[in-house]
Amino acid sequence: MTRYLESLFSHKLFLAIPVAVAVLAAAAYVIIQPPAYQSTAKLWVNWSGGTQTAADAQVASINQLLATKSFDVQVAQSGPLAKYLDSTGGGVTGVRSLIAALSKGGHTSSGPASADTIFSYLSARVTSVAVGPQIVSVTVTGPTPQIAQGTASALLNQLRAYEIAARHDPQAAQLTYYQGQLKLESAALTADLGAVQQYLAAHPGLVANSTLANNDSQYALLTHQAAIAGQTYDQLLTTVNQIENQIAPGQAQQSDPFTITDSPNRPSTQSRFGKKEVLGLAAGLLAGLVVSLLLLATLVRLDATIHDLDEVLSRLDLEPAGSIPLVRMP
Amino acid sequence: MSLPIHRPAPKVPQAARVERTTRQAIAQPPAPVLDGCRLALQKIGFPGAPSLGIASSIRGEGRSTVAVASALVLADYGVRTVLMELDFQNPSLASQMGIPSHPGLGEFLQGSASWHEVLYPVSDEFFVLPAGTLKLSHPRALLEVSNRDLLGVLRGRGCSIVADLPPLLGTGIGAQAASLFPDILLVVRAGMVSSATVKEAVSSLPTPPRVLLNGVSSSVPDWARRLAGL
Repeated sequence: MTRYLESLFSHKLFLAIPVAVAVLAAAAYVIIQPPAYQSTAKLWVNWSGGTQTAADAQVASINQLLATKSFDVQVAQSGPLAKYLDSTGGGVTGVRSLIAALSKGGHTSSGPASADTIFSYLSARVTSVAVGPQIVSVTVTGPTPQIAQGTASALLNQLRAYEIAARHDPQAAQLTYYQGQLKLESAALTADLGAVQQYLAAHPGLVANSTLANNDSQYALLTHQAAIAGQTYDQLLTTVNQIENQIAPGQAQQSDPFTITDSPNRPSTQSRFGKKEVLGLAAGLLAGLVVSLLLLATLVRLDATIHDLDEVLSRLDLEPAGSIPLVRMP
Repeated sequence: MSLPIHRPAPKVPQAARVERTTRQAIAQPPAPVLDGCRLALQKIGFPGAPSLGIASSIRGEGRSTVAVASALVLADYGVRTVLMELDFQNPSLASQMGIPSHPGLGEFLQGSASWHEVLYPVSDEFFVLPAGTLKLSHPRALLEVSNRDLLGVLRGRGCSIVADLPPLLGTGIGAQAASLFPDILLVVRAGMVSSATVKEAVSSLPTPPRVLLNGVSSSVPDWARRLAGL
């Protein structure tokens, strides 16, 4: 341990070189990255998150949707991102674009961006964080302020549409079911009422003589069936009306999954030190430290010099007379 | 018995004469160096031992500074001490002590200068014998020192001798010079010379030397020591 520390502080400048080089390389990598602008929106989540907080559930929902290519493609196509990716061949700009162009003989590829390209682009540039029990912050990084803001808006619109659809689809299925039931019950009621009419036509005396009608068991059975069919029909109609009311546009506003409290802003300054850049610098620092530690271990291993009086005896097998602080030749 | 030390002889240059008469204060090694050398000399048997050669494996290990410090320590004990330059290839004592580089041992061996002229007083008990200008080969000069028993002559006049020897490796005469002295203090610069080099140097000596480690001061700052629990 002492030997390592001695070597570390004796060669501190030498050992600092790998760290400095690695950090500088990481900084250079950060600098050659294309310009980045961040647009941030804040949402108030209206839905309950079950065991999670509403904000955590919303963040999980956003991350799940971003992990699907179909969602990402819809976000890109409903905003300015798809056009940008089409024109730049996948969002490679700046120095990296120049390098790519040189490696391809001066031609950069352009054309419709694939779903994979959109997916990888968006997944690296959208972050959502729960900043409170019901507040979620969504940040989108883009190459221009317009694209960052437009993509953030498109993301929120698509998110809302997906979540509303996901909530309303079961109700629509219910409505279809009950409407079918209502139709069947309507037909049954019509048939029952028709049967009563036919019976009365066949027995005209029942119309004039109510006592006779009350004593006619067949007539009583037919009218009872018609009454039950009528009640069932009324119940189904009420249910259908309720479901239709829930799905109505007025109800949709009430069941909005979230409210945008802060709309996506249009950034005015570049964001140089985002998560990716900080991670890049940290990785550079870590790599430099690892190299320095390896160098230190090598220095200690290769160091066959004498450092203290104990080593005079153990390594040289000579008797030490003493020691003095470092003096150099004049 | 006293040394034949007199005021400047006619052959001594005017500038040197001024230095010798005024006995300018020399730049002393730092107190920790003097203390370290004092302890080392006590361990070896000084004051009392007649002569000591200060050696090192290679150049740049602090040998000359240790030689000066050792001589100063002995003089401080009241021992009449002669600091002798035997590193003929790269003599540094004269400039270090602020005395003329010649006449010195070379002129004495040729018979062109006397003891009076080549022993430069630094204090009442401390004299310096510079290498001077050698017209003999270095091995031959050392042989002359041995044959004429110059060390014995000085010892016979009540002097202890501290010699700044040539490095044991790379000069060709290190071992020969060291063989003139019964006690050798080997200066080893900490963190500079490999143990294999030191062993090679020691193997050229007839008896194992004592080792004075130069530069044991740690480069680890106090806060790092505390942090590491050292």
